[in-house]
Amino acid sequence: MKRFKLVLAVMLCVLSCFFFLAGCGSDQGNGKDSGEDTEAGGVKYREELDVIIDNTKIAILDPHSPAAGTSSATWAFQMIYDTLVADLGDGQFGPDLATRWETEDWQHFTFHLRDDVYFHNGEKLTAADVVYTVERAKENPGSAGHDKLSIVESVQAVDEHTVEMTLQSVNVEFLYYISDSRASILNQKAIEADPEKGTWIGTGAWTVSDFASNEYVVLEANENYWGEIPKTKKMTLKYVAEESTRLMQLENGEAQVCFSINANDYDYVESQTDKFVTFPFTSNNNSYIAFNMNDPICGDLNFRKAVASAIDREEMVASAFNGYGEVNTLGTFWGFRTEFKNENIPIIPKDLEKAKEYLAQSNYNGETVEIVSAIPDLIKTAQIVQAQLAEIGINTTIKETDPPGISAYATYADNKAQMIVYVGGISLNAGSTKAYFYPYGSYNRASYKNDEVIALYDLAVSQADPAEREATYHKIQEIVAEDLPYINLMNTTFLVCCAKGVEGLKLSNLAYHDLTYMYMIEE
Amino acid sequence: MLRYVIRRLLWLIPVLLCVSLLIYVLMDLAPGTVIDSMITEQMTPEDIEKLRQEYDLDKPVIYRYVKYMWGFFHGDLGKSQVTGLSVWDSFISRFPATLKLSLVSVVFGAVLAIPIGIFAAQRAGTIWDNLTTGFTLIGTSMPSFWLGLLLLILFAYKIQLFPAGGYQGPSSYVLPAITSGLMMTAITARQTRSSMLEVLRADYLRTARAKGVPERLVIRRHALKNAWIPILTTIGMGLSRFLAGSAVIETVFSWPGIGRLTVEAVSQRDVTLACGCVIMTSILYVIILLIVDLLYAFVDPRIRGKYASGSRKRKVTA
Amino acid sequence: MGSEINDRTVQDNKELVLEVEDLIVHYVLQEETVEAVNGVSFSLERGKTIGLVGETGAGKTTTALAIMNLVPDPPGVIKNGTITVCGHKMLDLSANQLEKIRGKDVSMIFQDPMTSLNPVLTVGDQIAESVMLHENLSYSKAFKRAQEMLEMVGIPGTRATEYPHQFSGGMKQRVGIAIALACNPKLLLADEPTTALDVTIQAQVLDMIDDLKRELGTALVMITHDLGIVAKTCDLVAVMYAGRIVEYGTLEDVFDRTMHPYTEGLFNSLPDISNRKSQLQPIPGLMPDPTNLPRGCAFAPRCRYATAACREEQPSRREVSETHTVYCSAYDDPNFQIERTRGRGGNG
Ligand SMILES: Nc1ncnc2c1ncn2[C@@H]1O[C@H](COP(=O)(O)OP(=O)(O)OP(=O)(O)O)[C@@H](O)[C@H]1O
Ligand SMILES: [Mg+2]
Repeated sequence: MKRFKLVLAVMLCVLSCFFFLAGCGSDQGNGKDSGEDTEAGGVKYREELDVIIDNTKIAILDPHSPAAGTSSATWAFQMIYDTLVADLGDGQFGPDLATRWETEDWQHFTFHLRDDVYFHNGEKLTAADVVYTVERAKENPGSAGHDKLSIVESVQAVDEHTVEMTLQSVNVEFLYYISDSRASILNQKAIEADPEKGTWIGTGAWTVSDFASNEYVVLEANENYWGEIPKTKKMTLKYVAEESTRLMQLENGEAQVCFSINANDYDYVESQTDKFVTFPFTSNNNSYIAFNMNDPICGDLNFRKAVASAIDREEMVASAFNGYGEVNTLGTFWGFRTEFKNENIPIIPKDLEKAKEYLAQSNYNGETVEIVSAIPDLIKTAQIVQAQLAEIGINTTIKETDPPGISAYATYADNKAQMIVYVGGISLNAGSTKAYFYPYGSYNRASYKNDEVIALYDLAVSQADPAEREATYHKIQEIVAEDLPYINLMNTTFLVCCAKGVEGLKLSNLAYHDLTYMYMIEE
Repeated sequence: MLRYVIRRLLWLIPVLLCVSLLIYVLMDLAPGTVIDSMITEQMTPEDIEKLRQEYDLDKPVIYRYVKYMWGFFHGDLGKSQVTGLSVWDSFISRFPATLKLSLVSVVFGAVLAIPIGIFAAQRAGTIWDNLTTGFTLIGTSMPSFWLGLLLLILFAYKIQLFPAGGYQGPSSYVLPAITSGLMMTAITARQTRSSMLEVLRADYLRTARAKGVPERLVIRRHALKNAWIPILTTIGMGLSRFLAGSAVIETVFSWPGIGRLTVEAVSQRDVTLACGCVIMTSILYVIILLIVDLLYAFVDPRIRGKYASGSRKRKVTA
Repeated sequence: MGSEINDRTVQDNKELVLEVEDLIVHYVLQEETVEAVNGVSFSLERGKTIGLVGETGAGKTTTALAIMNLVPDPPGVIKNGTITVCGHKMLDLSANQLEKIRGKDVSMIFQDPMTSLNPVLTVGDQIAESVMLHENLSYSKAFKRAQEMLEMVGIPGTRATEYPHQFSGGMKQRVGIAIALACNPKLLLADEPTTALDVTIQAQVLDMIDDLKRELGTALVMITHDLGIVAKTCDLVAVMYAGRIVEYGTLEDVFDRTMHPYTEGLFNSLPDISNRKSQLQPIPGLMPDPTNLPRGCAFAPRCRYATAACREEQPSRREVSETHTVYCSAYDDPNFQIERTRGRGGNG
């Protein structure tokens, strides 16, 4: 009797839970069991794809927000919006929203827009939207969109489909800037009607159907897109905070693509060739050692050379990254895919004898040097650096913090660090390296300042001739190789893990991947 | 009664001042500021300085705090420093996910816990009682992070019965609700057991039995009703804790609720959003405990009498 | 099931409402065993009243609980005995059957009115509950009956919707009586129904019980240590000491022809109103520890007539008359008389 009562109670409990849940309905509206297929010419495409994004998350769907600087935000932006011009790689640009453009002096530009483009809210794209977009970006300092568009001095609509822009000064990299998804064209009317959700409206191949900050964005294929319509009908880009469940979701079909599998699982995923396909890409972001140039010990070039001669990059790749990385072989600090890299500068080889010599000449006298680091992989790297430096007699301690902690620790003006082991973004465009070498540069964790370098950077943006620009950037690289404020270590290789059948993914070394035409063929 | 409610609600003010000040100061002590994650390689020093000024980072923390609270007492929870979106809207858009999971967890926890607690109390000292005590001990001491992962590995990975995360159909509630509900079950079952044990010794149960009331009604109508108050308190505490959003459970199960919102806000040094979340959850906490307090009156007429003092129609016996 | 037993047994024992035979109840605690009731036998006819008297701890309440088969278990264990209430063997019935008898055939007024009522139910509901259970009445009818019961015990029926904490102690006791009487039980166990009450109310309550008894023909077990109440209400008296009945007989037998030294002691410890100057003579010493009863007569250590034999052996049973029984070895000596009878000049 009593046991029966208990069983009844448990059953009631389960039942009531289910009734309650049945009333809740589906909120995100996707799941592994609802992914049906579209059939076209005998090939079946999966209708829905769930994508687990990387750790950068998507905080906001607004390219002009300071919070939109993350790599995964650019994936959504590329799907939702279009840019004026398309980056074809190798310094080449093709039409996108602009069918053609003209410039004579790299300061005055004229863009001719397509006239068959409609925003997701049904509004037709006009020159006014382009003007609005540029002006809005300029008003939002701190945003990636601002970075791209703030060099525009003035912008006006010549007619419905023609826009003229004048830059503050000559800039040969302007097309590169406006091909970035953060310089996408937004709709004036939508944003003025709803400042928060109006930015979800673009002209792109995908429309936003749901979004939760830092959690997920649900996209649906735009059937009225002016360009090629995606084969996939619905795509969810979601952030999965708990690393260990990402592989689970991939395995049980809750996700078809994962950009952030734990590196320890790479070997396993690669071995399961019947279930998964993997796409590796090596990030252009350098992991590096930065020296505080104002520190009495680290400010000494001999000390920095001693460190450079003592480290072994191969070991870092092998033990901190399970072999998933490439040793950076540039003798200077530059992105290995960044334009105008100078490959003639020799890298300082590992040589412990040399290292000890340098150390003897330096003003290091057995003090304990603090290494600041954040993020597990880099902390592991820092530990390897620590062990390698110990071999030549440099004592170090490691201070662990989180990414905002790194920024707070080592700013150009107020540098509390001695050595920093961290990773930094470098885009394909040479000018972006300024962030590391310019006074007050946003990534200048070495507090590095060299007037000659400043002058060369200022010169480079005015040099329309690529050969001249190359010479300038090569010179910069030579100088910083000598000054050695940074030692570049390696570039991480990431494995994008997909369910078998996933194709159409365009990977980028900057992690600005293009998922617009990603699809999955079902068997 | 109304006076009591108002007095309790007035207590919210010092509570809110304390928690908000605490969160402001703590987040100020943490290294880094909200603008650190906004800095890109193309920003000029002037841009960065402008950003700092925009967020009042050039002023002392107390200035930012007073400014924020000034807005708050004018009914404005502020805007997220990171996304620029209204904190209130962010909170409201995430709250349903947390609310639903909380309710499911509480219902699951309570519905399971009360029979277990009664079962154990009726068999106090027997092997069954020891077994349930063991269960509650495990339930209360097991870290929910660990339990969540364990359930995930078993039911999402090995058996693939439930999804490994996300906030979707009914099946996605099962694992997170079990994980958070189990702790709740354990605590509530223990509370039910001890308060039932106390009640089971009461003389009025003997009176009820002497009237020929069947044992099941003795427990349900006579004993449980008297044992409710501590049980209600436990459930209320559990609910308000869940409503604050369990960061751990929401992280493990990718649940887009208040807990995740707060964690992200803290990790991005988004002080206004973090503070807004904490303020809102504190308000909820106080209100739920107040509701539980008022529920006491429904359960126990003696307490009802206290609230109703003065307005009671008291008849004089002949 | 219950009715089957009912039909069969009621004919057999038409007159006897209660029969207790050789009842032994122990409370088995972790370190010790309380020998609360050690072989009690008595019986009661329809409409009659028996008084169970004795000092505190004598086992009166335990006996009553055993009659209801409500001895708390654990720790209580009914070691031996048969109890027949209206023909039902209470100790052999299933829980289900017991529930049908309790409150209907036999009910009990509990000793402590303060804790015997459920604080979270209205008194009306508490009275109506047993009516609903046993007479299959709807709630509203049962509630109406509850109000009538309240009126009957002298509480306005409108107060049925109030809770016990809104009542005074005496009113609570009356509510307890109303609960016990709600279904016109054939047997009522009243466990010190008046100790919680002041004297005027005491008299009212006793009168009330008496009236009800007469009206409804209820047999009553009146548990008390107040001999005055016994004299007022009882037909039979059983004097209990340390879990045993030491003297049993009609009211006259026990009061006028007292045999047992303990009963005598009880009378001597009463103040004598007619002779205010006379000294109270309380029984010296204390009742023995029920966890450690002496081998012989339990009263022997306090008995002024006790002999060595008394301390060694259990007292012998002596039927003084058809109605009067005493358990005392002193009467093995044919010339023995207690002082009380001696003073009145002879026995019988
Ligand atoms: N639940 C119990 N557990 C252990 N011992 C008990 C319990 N109930 C009663 N006893 C013991 O049993 C003995 C008889 O108790 P009982 O209540 O029957 O006495 P009583 O004659 O009713 O006394 P009083 O006149 O004080 O009510 C006492 O020694 C008491 O301590
Ligand atoms: Mg008693």
